Amino acid sequence: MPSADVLMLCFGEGGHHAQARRLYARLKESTETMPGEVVSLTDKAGIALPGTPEFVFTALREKHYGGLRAVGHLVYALLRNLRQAFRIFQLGGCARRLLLVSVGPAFAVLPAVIVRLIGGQVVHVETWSRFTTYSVTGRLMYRIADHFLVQNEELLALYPRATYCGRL
Amino acid sequence: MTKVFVTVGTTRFSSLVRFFDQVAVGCDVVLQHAEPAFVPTHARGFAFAPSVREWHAWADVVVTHAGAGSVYDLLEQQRRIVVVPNLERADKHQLDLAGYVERQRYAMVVKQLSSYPSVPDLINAALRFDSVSYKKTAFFKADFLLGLLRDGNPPAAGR
Repeated sequence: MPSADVLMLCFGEGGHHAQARRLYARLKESTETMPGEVVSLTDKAGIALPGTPEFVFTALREKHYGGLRAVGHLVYALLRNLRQAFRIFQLGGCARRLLLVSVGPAFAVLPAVIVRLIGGQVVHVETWSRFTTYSVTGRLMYRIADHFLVQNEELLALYPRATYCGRL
Repeated sequence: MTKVFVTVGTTRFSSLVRFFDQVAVGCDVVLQHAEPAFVPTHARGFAFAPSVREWHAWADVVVTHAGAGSVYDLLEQQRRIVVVPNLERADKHQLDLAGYVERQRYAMVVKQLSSYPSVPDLINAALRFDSVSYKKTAFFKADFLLGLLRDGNPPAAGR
């Protein structure tokens, strides 16, 4: 992997994927050439942004079940994600400048912690589906991220140190 | 004949799909149901599709789960939609977006399908619903993010 600048875009399937596609399009509209290599961190194989290498994590959230089953899935997913986390550590360690931008999935917490530990910057864009409630990922990333952006102004009441960024 | 497209995104939403898979006089119903083993009885349907945009354009009314990707996409296309939050999920966060859509009157929101005795009753209510056009402030922090990557610091106008 190159010792260049690296932008890691972190997203899941469904609505997160839609946000990532829109964010990537806005970034490309704003510059003639992307300043660095773009890497997709996803929780489903095959949904990487066009032309970007993909690191697939296991989704932490069990959508249909709560209780012990959800906890069991969480532990399983965290263990599985350790290997990918090590790859992120290797890639990030070689980068001249490293930026991770997350648009909401829970698995983003682990790579975000690693990026911070190796001196990179983390930006969390809280998911566009929240207005008056916290997400678990939002609560955690509010503490971890260097910059916490919200797409809905209503969320400034929940995250007073956040920055409003408009909606993707 | 009113053309109705029902979409549940990537997560199963059986109660919505079963509600619309019943005899619906005056409605032509197509389901995107996310259940590969499910075979509709009265409606037409498919589990997933690479893109549902053509079905959005085909339909007179689109009934959608309250997933943000689907809802915003449809609102931006100015489609007549009905938003139904998926409360079968372990987390109930679709209520948050459904509440926003309802407060802004961007679309009809249905939290209890049992409030409607039949598909035509629900669709007729949707056709009568007086909605407000969707507006948004578009994302304006692209330069801020690019500045972080280029210089390690945000531009002066950033945070």
